[in-house]
Amino acid sequence: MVNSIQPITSASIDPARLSPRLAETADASGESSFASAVGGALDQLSAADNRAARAAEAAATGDIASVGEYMVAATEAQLTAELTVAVRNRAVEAFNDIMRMQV
Amino acid sequence: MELFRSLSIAESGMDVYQQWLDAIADNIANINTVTPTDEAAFQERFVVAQSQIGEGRPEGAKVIRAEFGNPLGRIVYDPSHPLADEEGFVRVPDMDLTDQMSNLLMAQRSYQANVAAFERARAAYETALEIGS
Amino acid sequence: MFISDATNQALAHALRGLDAQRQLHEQNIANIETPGYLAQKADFAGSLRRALESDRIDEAEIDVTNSVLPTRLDGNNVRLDDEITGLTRTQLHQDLVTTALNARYRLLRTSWDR
Repeated sequence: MVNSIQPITSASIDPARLSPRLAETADASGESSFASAVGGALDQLSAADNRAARAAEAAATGDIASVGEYMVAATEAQLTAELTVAVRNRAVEAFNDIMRMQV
Repeated sequence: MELFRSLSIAESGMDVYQQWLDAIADNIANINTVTPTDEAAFQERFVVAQSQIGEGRPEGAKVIRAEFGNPLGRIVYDPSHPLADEEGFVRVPDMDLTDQMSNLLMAQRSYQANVAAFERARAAYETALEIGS
Repeated sequence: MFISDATNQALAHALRGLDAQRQLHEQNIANIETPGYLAQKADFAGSLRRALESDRIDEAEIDVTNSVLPTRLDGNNVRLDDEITGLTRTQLHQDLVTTALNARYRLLRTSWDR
């Protein structure tokens, strides 16, 4: 059995949800916020990856109800991965900018 | 849960009409089969199809049984026929070639329709494989 | 996720099973007029399903069986329309599994490349 596939909604690819504290990266506890932002994004990525892996196994055995169902799960995992990488790159950039700031 | 269900449904339709075509071919082959009056006539073959539902989802059609026409056939006066009885009668099947030919046309068209449905389903699955690319 | 994890091994096994299936369809079509020939088919899904459930993917097998359909007068039971539709089904499933394997590899690269 495959877990039900969640449709890709704007909520599921909302960067703020992927890394809820991204906006606060520049606050006093800069380093831990950065860590939790990246950690949150990785959790999301791992969940999407797991869903896609289960769907891929079901596709191998022919146990999916529709081809579209699998394709949506795989695309969702791919988009989540790309988004996570993009958010991570921005976060690293922001972190470096802060580190270069003259106090 | 079944992968490519639309293909299976179209295949089940092809199977039903294939069996109907077989039955019609048998009927046409025996349209002039003569029997003595003390034996049953060739009985026209019919197939009975039924729609199939599994777990609330459509699973196409299936031939559930065969039905047979009137074994009495028609009594025809043909005294020169080697199988004729003392009064000169023989038994012939109660079938009409025109009916068989129109059934043949219907069965053939329906078989083609199921092949078309199969091809459309294939195209749809191929399109689904392009999602996200 | 690793380059050759259980999921990717399952997909690779499916590709082998589908290849066997396609070869048997071709074999059946080639023997459609051979007296006494029985149609053969390959099943990999049942064994693969059990292997995935027990987490022992290397135990997945491909089962080849003879068709039990009624034979014609010459003892042959190949049905051409079954074989043709079977080829289409195998082809589509192969496309799906290939797409799935490509998607898995692409996902891996996404995390490396940038």
